[in-house]
Amino acid sequence: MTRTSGTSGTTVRGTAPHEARVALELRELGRRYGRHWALRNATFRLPAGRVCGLVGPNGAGKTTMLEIIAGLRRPTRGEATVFGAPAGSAEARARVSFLPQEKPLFTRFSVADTLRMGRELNPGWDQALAEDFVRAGSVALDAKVGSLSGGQRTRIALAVALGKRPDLVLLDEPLAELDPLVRRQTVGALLAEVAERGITVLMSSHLVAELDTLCDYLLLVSRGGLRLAGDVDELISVHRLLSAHGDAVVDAPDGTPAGLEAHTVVQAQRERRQVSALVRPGGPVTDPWTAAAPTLEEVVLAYLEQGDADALISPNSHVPGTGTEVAA
Amino acid sequence: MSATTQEARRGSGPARAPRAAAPRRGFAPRGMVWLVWRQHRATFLVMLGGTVLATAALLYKGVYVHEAVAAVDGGDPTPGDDATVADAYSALQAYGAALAGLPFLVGAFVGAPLFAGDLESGTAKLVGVQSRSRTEWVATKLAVAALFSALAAGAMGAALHYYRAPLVEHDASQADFTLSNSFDSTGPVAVVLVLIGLLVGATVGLLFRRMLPSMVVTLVSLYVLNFAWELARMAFARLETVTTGGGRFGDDDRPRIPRDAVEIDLSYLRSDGSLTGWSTCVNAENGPACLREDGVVGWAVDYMPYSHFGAMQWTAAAALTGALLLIGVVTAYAARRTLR
Repeated sequence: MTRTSGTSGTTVRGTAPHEARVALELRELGRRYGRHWALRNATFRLPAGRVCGLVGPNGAGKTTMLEIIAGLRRPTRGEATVFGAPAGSAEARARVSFLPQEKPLFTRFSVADTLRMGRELNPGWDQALAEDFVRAGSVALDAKVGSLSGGQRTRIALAVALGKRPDLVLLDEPLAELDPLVRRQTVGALLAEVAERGITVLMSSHLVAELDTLCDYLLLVSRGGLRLAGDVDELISVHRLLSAHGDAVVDAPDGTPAGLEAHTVVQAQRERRQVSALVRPGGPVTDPWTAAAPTLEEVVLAYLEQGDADALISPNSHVPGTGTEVAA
Repeated sequence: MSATTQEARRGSGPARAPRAAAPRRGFAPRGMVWLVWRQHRATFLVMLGGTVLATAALLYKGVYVHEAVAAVDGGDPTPGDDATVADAYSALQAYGAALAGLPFLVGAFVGAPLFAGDLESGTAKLVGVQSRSRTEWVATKLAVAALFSALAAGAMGAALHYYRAPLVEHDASQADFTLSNSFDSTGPVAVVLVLIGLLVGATVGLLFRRMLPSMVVTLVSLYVLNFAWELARMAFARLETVTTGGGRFGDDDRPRIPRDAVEIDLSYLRSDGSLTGWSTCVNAENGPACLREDGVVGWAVDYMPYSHFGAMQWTAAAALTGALLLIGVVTAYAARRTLR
């Protein structure tokens, strides 16, 4: 099924919008610092219960977006709602946990003090959950936070985030600066808790290759706005990675390889004697092209490199009444 | 893709019920107050310890000053009593100067790091994403810091007042209670000034977001405010005036003022009731003739008795409280601007 919006020419594929609970909705969200827009026109919905990767180039406003959702910043324009409550409101704050990239903790506190902070400031605090999460990482409760390794500090920060028993967890580059082993342990522990409680997770990351194993939903933003949104399986399935021998393909006047007119070309490149293109097929693939299923990393990198590619927005990420509305 | 997630989700069961922490007993601080106390307890304990020590020392020394002044005033002093009183006047200046510096200390070392430390380390974000509001966080931090600051200024100011009282009553000319190191370091004025120091420091910290620059800017800001206060302080004094007449204006003819009063201004009095400065005709060859020619008939002395000290304190404290509220508005603006 192919749908085209009447306002922006946005191509939309996939299943019809379902009535799943919406964890997060952004409408034309923007934040300006002085004369510089750090975030502009962010509009999407995130269904509840998903583990969503948020990717985009540096400066696309991912951190600003997460901070607005967490209630740490006010938007210059637009609005964000968390389970229907305005971001930053008491109701929204009680349901959201946010782990900033720098994972700030009081370095003079002991681990026990840090967990007590969570207990003192959150009515729904689950002390046992937080302690279990800490102990699973072999971190002593009486250890000073300032003496812990980066991985241990990440675990403490995650324990505070999860002990709050949030419905939505926002993670800003949670795996950066962790070695692979700690990263694996941390991810495993996080996903176990997320799965047990059905928490919605929105996680920004530059580690695109790892998002494939972490996330079942993906949002890709660029300075031009939202470019990709939807189930990871779905996003991959609607793309094909085409390749052909370079001598067999000539370039059209607009620079795109000939023979791809029937498809939506996200990105094409010529390397040595090989031509490859990531496309959204609009018909059968013909000679001399051969098709293969791309990886999530290949899809994401293609959209990141080709920032002006047509957006691909899953129906359940659409916000009714906005520019990316699905046309009938 | 998503194998880990999908498998985990397939195995998901009902969410665990939250398990509560062990019940708490006693009157230990709770909630945001606990966090503020835990984070800044070293600072608050140093303040508390310093206050207890300084207050105790001033009260202890004050007892001896009271006894020595009583002995001297009673006309039966020992040599030790005279020395104690003489030393006490010198010490009073030093103690007063130290306490007058309290708003600077509190501003730079308590107020400035109060928020700048959290903004610099990122812990403002950590607290900001908990269920309690950031308004509550800001208000609690300020309230707890203000409590300890006011306690310090109030207790030490009261002790200094006790130490100073007999010295003023004995001879106020050596213990000028209208000067900064005496007036600003006791009573309600001391409390309000230290709160201004705290609030200025906190505001600068919110705006600058870095500890060291905030401390420096706080000190500079408080120096400027203190300079303005130096100019304004005497506007809250209610003065008495005593005059002489009859053409007697020699140095020995100056009117006497009570010994617990401080001379504020000295002028010549003309026959028409107007005043002229005491330096009138100071360079004339024949001073008395010059003064007579100018119509001078006597002296006029403005003075402030110690009995007016309390009224001046409360009036000045009320005006300073107005300034404190204005600074509070700026603090609220800075918090709103910085934290959202």
